[in-house]
Amino acid sequence: MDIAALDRWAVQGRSRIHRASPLGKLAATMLFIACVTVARDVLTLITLYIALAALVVVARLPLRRTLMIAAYPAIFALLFAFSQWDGQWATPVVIVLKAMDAGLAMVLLISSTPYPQLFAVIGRVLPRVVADALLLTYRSFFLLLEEMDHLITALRLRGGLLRGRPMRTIRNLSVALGVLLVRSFDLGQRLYEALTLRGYSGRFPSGGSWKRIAPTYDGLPVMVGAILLALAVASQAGRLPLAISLAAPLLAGVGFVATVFGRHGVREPARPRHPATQMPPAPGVWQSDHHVEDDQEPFDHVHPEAMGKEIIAHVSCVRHTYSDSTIVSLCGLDFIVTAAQRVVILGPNGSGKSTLLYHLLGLLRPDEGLVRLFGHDPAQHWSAVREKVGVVLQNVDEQILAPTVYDDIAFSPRNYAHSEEEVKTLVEKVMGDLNITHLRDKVPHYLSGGEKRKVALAGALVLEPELLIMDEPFEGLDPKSRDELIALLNRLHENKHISFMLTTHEVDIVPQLADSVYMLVQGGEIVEHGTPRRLFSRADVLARSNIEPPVLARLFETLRDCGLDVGGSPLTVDEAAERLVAWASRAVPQPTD
Amino acid sequence: MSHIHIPDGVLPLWLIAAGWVVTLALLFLAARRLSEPEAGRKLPLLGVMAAVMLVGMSTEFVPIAYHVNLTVLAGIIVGPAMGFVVAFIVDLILALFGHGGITVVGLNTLIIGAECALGYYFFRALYRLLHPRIKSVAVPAGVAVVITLFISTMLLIGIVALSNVDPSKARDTGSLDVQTFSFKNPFEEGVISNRVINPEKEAMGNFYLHDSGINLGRFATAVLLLGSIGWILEAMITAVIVQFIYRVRRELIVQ
Repeated sequence: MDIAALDRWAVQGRSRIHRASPLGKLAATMLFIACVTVARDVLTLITLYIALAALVVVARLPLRRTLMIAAYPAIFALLFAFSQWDGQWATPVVIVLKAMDAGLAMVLLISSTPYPQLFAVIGRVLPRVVADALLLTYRSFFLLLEEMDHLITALRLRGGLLRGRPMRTIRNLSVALGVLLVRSFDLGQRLYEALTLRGYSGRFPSGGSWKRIAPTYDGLPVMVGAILLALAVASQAGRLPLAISLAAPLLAGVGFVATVFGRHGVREPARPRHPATQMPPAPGVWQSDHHVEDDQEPFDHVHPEAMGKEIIAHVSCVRHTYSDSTIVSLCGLDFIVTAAQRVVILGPNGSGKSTLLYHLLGLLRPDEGLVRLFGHDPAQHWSAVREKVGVVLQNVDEQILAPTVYDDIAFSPRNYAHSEEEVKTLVEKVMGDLNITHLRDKVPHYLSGGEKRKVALAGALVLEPELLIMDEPFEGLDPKSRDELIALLNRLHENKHISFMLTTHEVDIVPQLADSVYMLVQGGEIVEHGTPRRLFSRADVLARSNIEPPVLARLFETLRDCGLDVGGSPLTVDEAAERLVAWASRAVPQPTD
Repeated sequence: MSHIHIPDGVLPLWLIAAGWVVTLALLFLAARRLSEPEAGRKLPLLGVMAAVMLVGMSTEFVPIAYHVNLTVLAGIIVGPAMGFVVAFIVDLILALFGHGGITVVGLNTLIIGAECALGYYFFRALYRLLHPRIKSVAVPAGVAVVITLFISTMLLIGIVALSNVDPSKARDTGSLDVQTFSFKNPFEEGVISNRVINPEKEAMGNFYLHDSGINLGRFATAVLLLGSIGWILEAMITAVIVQFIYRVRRELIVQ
């Protein structure tokens, strides 16, 4: 069963069948299934199979592979066929054909209808929790399937799948499933956190698009279904020859017209596997205006309120004990973010960066210490601050919850009871701001890493928060996507005066997007705070936090060691170039006229 | 073991409808149990458990081309009520992918939901019974799987038996005729009769089904024979998984 392939065909297809509405296709499928249920002779069932196969061709699906996938239930129908064997071949053949026809009808539906559209219709008749769980199942399935692929690859590479040792293989695969299950519960926990942060209120909100019908495209499958059902009913009423003589030319005519239209229809180019490669070139982030001023030195060890700045986040000596008894103690300096400030948290793995963010998001409750966000304790009064805070989690896959990009960005405003008109305005605005309008109806799990990050960012920004919190936002991004994201964040800060705080390992990008840097050490102590220039000039502090200095700092240190008087370490390429040019003009004798 | 084995168009309409009615009723009851404040916390758990079952079904256990269902495991971890919701979601998604009949999702959910519930109770009972003497949780898990799947297979056979109470006579399946104690098709006089078996040997000769019901004895023999191989494999795999989870996340197995 290749669910991933069927899902891909549904999302990527552009045929007449794909363009039909989910309601139309569901109606047609119900007619096909009714036909299967009513029919009890081989001829009707073969006619149905041929008609469905023709629709597969019209849908431009790979015929052989589709038929193979759809034939899977026939294997199990053999059991019933065997049970009804009466010396005549007709009975078992009918049973197998019924399974094949029904299988093909369903495969045609699912491989031509993206799951969000299908589930939106089905979800209307199910209890809310079940409908939402159905969506989350499908979303989680693709995340876990990828995880399982990785586990199987690891097993294969490590000799866990050996030919000739089936018991060992079964045992190893079982353990892999166990690992997957344990990880899936962690995933479930993170999905819950994402739901909470994004204002889930007991229902995945959706627009009314599921009601839409497309008469131009719905006609073909519904008509074929109706003709076939009429044929089945007629055959049961003993008027099969008449029914066939009427139905055959009708079906042939419909199929011919559909094929001709289908062939000459507008075929859109297939979606590239990595659409990020088609994005507009990244703006020149190195020419960004967001240089940190040389003489700017923020409130090291000085309470910013004394400097007249509004504090929006404050963490003081927080201690948290995890369920496995690991204790993280975020003591040392206070962590403070003021309005319109860009803050970066640096530190090695296990230093408590995520713990710090999770306390600010109210996901963790401190054993002791102070956590304030906009003056509130977020663990107790998250609802008081939630619309002021946008969040981008480390793994954005775990926070993109809704079936389409539009619905996902609309998730929070709908949860916070904005009218559909307002939601539309907000979503379209943020999509325009982030230049992702073209992704509007895409299914999230087919987006590239950079696109997913932008969608998650759009979901975080849609309510125009005052503070944006991001956990390792650059992890897994290629350099181009990373530069785009830096430029985007700086643009948001400049135009909308949004404060943001983020954790990262990538020390080279810090000067481009930080007014202020906090440094943590293993175990959670906040040991230093200051501008990037100040902190990156202190090798002892960086070494204590297990952080390598930026590459430009190392280069200039090496040049100084070689005896070149190039000055202090620059933070940007532009600055480095200026210093080298200045040094060269001093060191190299100028030609005289 | 049974979710994939009943194709569309084989069982009588009344049985299919009854399956849907009972399943939807239980589904609404289970959904009500997931009360509003808890829904947010339980929803992801439902989603990932169902997703894990689907991944298990997508994973071929080479070289024997067998895939697991993990129904008992789901029952052990999420309990009977949530297990029923998970069973419905998995069945619905599988049916949408042509992997089993869409009309019989109701009946299949009853069988799989029963596997989740029975697995949960059998495992709990066996664990309490054996725990002080046998430290491994693999044994109660494996035994629970075998007993549960045996019962669920009998349930499947029972459903098939209901569809055709007397294989030699009961061609007409539907409402109960109290005089002969056989089932009679309520749509017999109408246009739509969904009998697999056509009593009239009409002009099309071999093209029609003949006057024979499902041979229950033959069906049961085949299902039990093939099923027993599946039970053992499922029991082995579930036992390994439960033992593994018990070692790394004990609270998921034994609250």
